[in-house]
Amino acid sequence: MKRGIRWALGAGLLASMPLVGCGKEAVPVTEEDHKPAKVEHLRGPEPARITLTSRAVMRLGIQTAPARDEVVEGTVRAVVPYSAVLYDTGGGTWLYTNPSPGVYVRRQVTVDRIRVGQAFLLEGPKAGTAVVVVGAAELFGSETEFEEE
Amino acid sequence: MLRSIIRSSLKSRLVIVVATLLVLLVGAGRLRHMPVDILPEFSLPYVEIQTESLGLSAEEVEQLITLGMEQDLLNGVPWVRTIRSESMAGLSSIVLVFEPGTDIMRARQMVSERMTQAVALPHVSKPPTMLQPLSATSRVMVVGLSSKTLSLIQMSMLARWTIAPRLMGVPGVANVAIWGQRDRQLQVQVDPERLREKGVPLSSVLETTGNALWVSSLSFVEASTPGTGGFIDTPNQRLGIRHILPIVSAAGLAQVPVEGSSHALGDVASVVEDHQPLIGDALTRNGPGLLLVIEKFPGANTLEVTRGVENAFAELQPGLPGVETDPTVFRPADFIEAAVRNLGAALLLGLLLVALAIVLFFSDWRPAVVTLLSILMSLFASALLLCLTGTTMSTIAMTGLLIAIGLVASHSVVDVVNITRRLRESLEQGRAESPLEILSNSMLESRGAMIYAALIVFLAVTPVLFAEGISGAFYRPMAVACGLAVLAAFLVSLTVTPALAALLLAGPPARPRIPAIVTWIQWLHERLLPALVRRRGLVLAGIGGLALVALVLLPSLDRSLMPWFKERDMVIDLRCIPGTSQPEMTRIVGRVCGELGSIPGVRNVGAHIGRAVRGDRVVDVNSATVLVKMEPRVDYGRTAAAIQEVVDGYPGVHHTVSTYLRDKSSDVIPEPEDEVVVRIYGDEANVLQRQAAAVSRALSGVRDVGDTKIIAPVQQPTLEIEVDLEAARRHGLKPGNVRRSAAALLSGIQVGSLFEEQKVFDVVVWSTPPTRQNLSNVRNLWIDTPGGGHVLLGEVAKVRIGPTASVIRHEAVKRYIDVVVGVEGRDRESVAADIEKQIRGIPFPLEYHAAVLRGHETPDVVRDRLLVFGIAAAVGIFFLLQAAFGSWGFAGLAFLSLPASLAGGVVAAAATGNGLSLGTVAGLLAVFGVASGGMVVLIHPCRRGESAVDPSPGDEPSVRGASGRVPAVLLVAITTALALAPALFLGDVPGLEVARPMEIVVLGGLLTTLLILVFLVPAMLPGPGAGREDRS
Repeated sequence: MKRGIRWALGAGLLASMPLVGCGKEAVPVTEEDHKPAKVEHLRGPEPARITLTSRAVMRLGIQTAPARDEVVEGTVRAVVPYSAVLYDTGGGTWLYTNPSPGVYVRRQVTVDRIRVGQAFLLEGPKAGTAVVVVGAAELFGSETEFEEE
Repeated sequence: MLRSIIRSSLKSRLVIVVATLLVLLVGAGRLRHMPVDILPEFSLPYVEIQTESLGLSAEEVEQLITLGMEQDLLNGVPWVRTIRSESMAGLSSIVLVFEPGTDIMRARQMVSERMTQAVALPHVSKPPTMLQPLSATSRVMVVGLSSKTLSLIQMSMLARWTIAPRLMGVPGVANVAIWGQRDRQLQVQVDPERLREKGVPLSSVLETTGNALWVSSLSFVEASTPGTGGFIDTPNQRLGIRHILPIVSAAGLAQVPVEGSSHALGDVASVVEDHQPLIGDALTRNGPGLLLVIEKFPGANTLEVTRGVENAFAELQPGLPGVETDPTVFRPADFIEAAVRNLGAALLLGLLLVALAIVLFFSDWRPAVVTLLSILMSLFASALLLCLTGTTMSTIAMTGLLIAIGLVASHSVVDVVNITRRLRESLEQGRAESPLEILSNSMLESRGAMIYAALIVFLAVTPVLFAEGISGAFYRPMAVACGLAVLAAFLVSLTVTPALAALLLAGPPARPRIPAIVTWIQWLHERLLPALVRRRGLVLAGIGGLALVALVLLPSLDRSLMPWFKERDMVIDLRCIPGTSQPEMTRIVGRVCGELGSIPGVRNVGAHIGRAVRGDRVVDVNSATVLVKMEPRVDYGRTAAAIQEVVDGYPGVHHTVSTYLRDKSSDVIPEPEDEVVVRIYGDEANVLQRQAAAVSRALSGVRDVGDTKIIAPVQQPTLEIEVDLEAARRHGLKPGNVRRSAAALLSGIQVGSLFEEQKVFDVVVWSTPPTRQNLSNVRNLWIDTPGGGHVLLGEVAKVRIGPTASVIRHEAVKRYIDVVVGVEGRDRESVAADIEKQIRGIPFPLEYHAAVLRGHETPDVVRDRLLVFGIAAAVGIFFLLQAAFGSWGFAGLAFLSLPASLAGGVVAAAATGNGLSLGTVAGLLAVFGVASGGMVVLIHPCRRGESAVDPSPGDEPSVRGASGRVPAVLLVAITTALALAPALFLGDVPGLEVARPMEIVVLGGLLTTLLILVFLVPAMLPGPGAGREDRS
């Protein structure tokens, strides 16, 4: 009420502009209705599960390739293309598997070494598992609201 | 004094007319070059210093470059308000913001002097550059370059050496930044494995390459002192000696023998032409290409600069075969041209309507001509005065002029109506006065009244002049334009109007007719006024009621003071997760652009990713800007919605869709009212994080505090190489050796320059691309040991991934972290005070402290200051009214009637959903101008204790007398309404975003104003016969 009277005095008497607080603008704001991705944060070794609409998959141009096994110096190693690998800030290495159409699951792997664009893993997905080789960065980005100042 | 001025104007009428014509001629020339833009220059004076350091990480940029410069610069540059900096991979950007009103040129000189004393920077960066001063809406054009025949490197050469220098020569161009620039370099790419096999140490390759050239920047290489050619004197002639470098290509460099070995350079390394590591990239509608972003100086005319650039390109085109230039990627001049066209058409039509109305009113061409010419001359003079003050003709300034149309009209109309009335009366009463005498008296009379009206409007707009900061600078042109217009109108009415009147109206009297409207008004008054006079109490209540409606409705309107310009250029900011690579950004942005380009209604799409040298985007490569241009005649809303839908559909890519003007003017919007920000300053990131958590906990107990949120710098993964001293010692290596070898292999070292055809190219020693493509290869880099042996990098250093801040921000030379505290319940100020008290009780380590951010523009500060000035202005207006009328009663009546006149406008704004926008405020001010003029004209003759100039029925300080004065008021109202009326018919087009809501409010407000001025106020004047005899 006190504020109302102050406003009436100030604004009404002058009809000069209140420079204060431009109100909410008509800037189109991203609506939260039809999101292209649904993210579930889980516990355990596979901390994120992202479900994309088929339109979103097409837009991002996601491509997958199967993990394979290779014998290196006597031991069997899982091998994935290096473009599937993502680093987090702590040094952990991850990739996204594609268990069913439009569903992507982030899974931790341990890299032994990288040669000629192929990553040889100490611990990784079974042979034949589809892993995302193009578009992993965008999947990673959809998990978090990375705050930009 | 007024009398003598008017007298001399009447006497020297021919001189004045000639002088006016001269002013018109000269002024027209000046006005043609007036800078025109949509927004005024509103940014605070600032200087930006950028230092490029390709390959340096954010922390090293901060330590080696930013801190040194900040600590030197901060202590000594005068007039600095804040110093902010951003350190990111490859770039240091320091911004010094100066106090408002600082002369930017002198400030730049001070900074220049300081920079020469700046501490000598380590030899890892280019020298610091102070960027050119830029306009608030700095980008004037973006041009896309693409080619089917030339490579990107060849196009970059053309852009850098031919196109950009030519464009910099266009007057008004401050900067040309090239996105996607790929500098041609001769690269000696080594494979450490191959070097090891051949037994050649890396240092030999460095020395060989450096010494093969004429000039090298490496101090340890002999070529750092190239020597000169010299000359010989024969007995007859002097022959200068010139050495011609035989190396012009990679093939030539490859043949050079490696020092200390039998191999040639080409045997131990691949010598190729390639480009530098990229800090950014660009996409045109034809795919990969270059984008040239052209920026202008403050006060430069966007339209002139755009045409200048287009002419420059036309001249260059013959020399650019195979290069497609696309100057339409971003062209704000399109919007300005459309806006000028539409607003010009609306004003021209309005002028015609006004002319028609005036002619119809007077039913006699001579007074009509005098009125019209005075109005036109006043408007011209206001525009000229505005131009002379150096103001840009922006939407805001234009709004100020539109507000003043009513005032300008009222001066001329009141004068001429008064003159015709006096002339008619003198004729009817057969008085023996010279026409000039009559003119002089009547003009003095009306001037005496109108000076008060002018002062009242001055007072009403002065609070804006005192607004500080960015908002102040933004809206000040409106007040300045309005004030200058009032001044111009007054001057014109003292000089031009008397001269014209003397020329046209003082001649042999052709009996001036009574305008039909005057008779009609008198008839109305005789019918209605007696009834109203009997119910004066009701009338007063009516006026009071209207005033209440206005005052109550006004605060309830939505405040949105930034006009929503219908720009056809959209700007989309895209951000992927920090740490995303440039190839991936190019891929995904390419997909977005491809889809946007296929939307019907989109004419052109271009994008730039990351940064460019001397560019205006201080971002990392994970950030991109997409520029979308819509077709001019498609449905704006539908196309904008389609664009939004496309961009929303890309998960993981954060985006903001806006227009350029909205983006730039977001600085003007003050901070939100429901948040308090506590900023904690310090040095180390984890200590800051801990303190932020402590502050957050401590503040949760404060009353009326909602959620708290900590805003910390975003982190991204980085490859850390930390030398193990013990292991290094075993191989005889020092950490510095390891760094330099790794730097040469992973980042490349420039060892010299190649001069060819007035161009300079870098010669760089680097590693082959596969060598630096993954973590394993970095671990397996061969480092030369002093004994001639080799060791893997991974054996002498820990190579691992760790976190780093993407951008390290400083304010006042310190890192900081923000704790944002939501405020619920009480107002912001009192909660902020409590928070401050609470913070004082929290312990901080040495050199850390916290402060509540008090911007210079918090809503409370702005509102309080406005309130103070507003109340002062209102009091001033009241006293002015008292002086004008000589009576407290009349002053009170007028003071109450002024807001009452606005009631119609406020209702119109609320009814049409316009809210309190810039157009609404402008409309209310225009109505205020008409109302105050009308009030003064009506009541001024009623002042007591002054002898009337010439007793006549029109002077009756009474109800009857008012009938004679009302027609002038009516004409002023009609003129104001018609001047902008075409804006409503021309549709929702560019240029009329402010004029349309303004006209709606003006129409509504004039209805109530006329009601009050024609009926209600005259009813409140003293009854008939209060002063003189009635006219029968």
